[in-house]
Amino acid sequence: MQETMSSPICGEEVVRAENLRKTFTLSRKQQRLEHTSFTRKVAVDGLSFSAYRGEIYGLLGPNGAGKTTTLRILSTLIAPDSGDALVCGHSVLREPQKVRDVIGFMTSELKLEGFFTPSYLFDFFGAMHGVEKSVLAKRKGELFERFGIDRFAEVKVRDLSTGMLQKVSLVVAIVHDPAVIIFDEPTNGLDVLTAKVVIDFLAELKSMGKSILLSTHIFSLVEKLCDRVGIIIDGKMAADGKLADVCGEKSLEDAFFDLYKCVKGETI
Amino acid sequence: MNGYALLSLTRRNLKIFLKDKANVFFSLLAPLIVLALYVLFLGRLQEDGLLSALEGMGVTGAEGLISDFSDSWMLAGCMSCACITVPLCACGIMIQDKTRGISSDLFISPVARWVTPAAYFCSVVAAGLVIGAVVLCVCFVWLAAAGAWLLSFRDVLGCIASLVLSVVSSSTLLVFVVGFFRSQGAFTALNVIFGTVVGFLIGAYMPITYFPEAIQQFTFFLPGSYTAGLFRNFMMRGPLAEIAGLSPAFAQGLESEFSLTFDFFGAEVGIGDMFLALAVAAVLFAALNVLVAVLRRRKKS
Repeated sequence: MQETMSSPICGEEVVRAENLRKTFTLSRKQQRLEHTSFTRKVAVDGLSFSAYRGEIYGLLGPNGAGKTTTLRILSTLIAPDSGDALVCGHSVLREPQKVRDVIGFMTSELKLEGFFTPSYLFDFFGAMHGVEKSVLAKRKGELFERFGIDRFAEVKVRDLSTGMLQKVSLVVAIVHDPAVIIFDEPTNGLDVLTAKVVIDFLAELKSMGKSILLSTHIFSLVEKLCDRVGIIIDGKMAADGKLADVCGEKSLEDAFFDLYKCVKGETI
Repeated sequence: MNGYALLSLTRRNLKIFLKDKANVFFSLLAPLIVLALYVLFLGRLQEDGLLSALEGMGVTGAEGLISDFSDSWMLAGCMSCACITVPLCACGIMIQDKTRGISSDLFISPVARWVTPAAYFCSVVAAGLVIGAVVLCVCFVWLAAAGAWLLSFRDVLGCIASLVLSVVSSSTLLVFVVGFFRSQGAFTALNVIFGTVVGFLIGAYMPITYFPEAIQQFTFFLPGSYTAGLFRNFMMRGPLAEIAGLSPAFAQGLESEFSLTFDFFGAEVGIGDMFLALAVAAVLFAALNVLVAVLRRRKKS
């Protein structure tokens, strides 16, 4: 397993989503909130795209477009109704455990218990991912030093600054050296300083040769970080490609709203 | 790998429970209420009632024995409550992980899917056993300090066995029930209601025979009643035997009034049956937990 995690045997294409479809049953409360009488909602509707090794691929779309659902399918948290996705050649449907070996899943939410130390949390999640103790110790030393956590390794999480806390959260998520990192709304709800920590972290991961898939509705984040972008509107892929190809001469924001008007037949 | 992950996750869950001092305190609230009520007025009320009944039968000078009997009854109630309320509070970590999204972090690790729920169960059992053992030690110290130690070695072993089986049984039931909860608010409500009602339902505040027949029959279907029955048998048999030396008829009456044995729709339920009832409940709810997990996974895929 260690070999798979640290040096994945996969081609250039690390993620391939093929015609993914996912529907959810709406509760009465959700029906009221969405102003609909339908009991089912199509969250992802025939979505296909590919992401390649060493690049940052951004899924851009408004809230409720199906970005998080897509990422949750790719991380094996939910299964698609139809279609399949391959991560480093492993099917999320047929080989979910192998997929979980090679991915790291992160959100901007901090989920660390205050009385644990970064060192304990790193060791705990290492154990959960089956990382050998010697490998774990070496990796902890490297990552903690690289991201400046080493001086705070034994400090209780509740005593850390928000930025440092975020770094710990991110480092813990890549404890098993995943080949593919999936990041749902990386800067959502973060203040500017902590958001910068996350953006720098992602850039650092990219420089380490990691493949990153992120979802966001923030144009500047995509422009700053992503090599390629997939624009999702109403669960469908409206555009997919290199940033320059998707935007043409326009800014990403203008290109997005033109596309939105074209797909929905309405302006915002 | 799964074994190591199971151990790590169980230790993590247990640490989270034990580090939260307020949670540990509230898990012992029901036993503490039993203790407080007893010290404040229930103990004296009960002792006075029993003494006047004895005097009515022409027996005097049994104050010490009646006091030992009452102490044992109260401590059995404390232990029975602790075996239920501590695992219930320890289940809070399941809800906490769900609401904070930590479950997702755990579920995307490459360990087998059974590891996370199994670790929750193991940590709930471990929390129940650790805190339960401490409460049991306090009970023993209380009895010894009050000069009411009338337990044989077999009784001590019986208490330990009752603690283990009761915690396992209540944990399987509570993990099953709490598994359906999604919000912290709902869980807190369950905790408050359960913590308040459990002392009455298992006869910790007052003997269950004081309740209407229908309530008594309902309690026969609660595993906690058998937990209470077992602790009463192991903690109260000593004082009861001493009282039987003074008045066998009175002791026999107490045995039935304080539910040391039950009359389950005409069939007498003894210690062996109580152990069996708890074991059956544990197996039943363990099976239900597995069934629900399988159905959820099928629904998901």
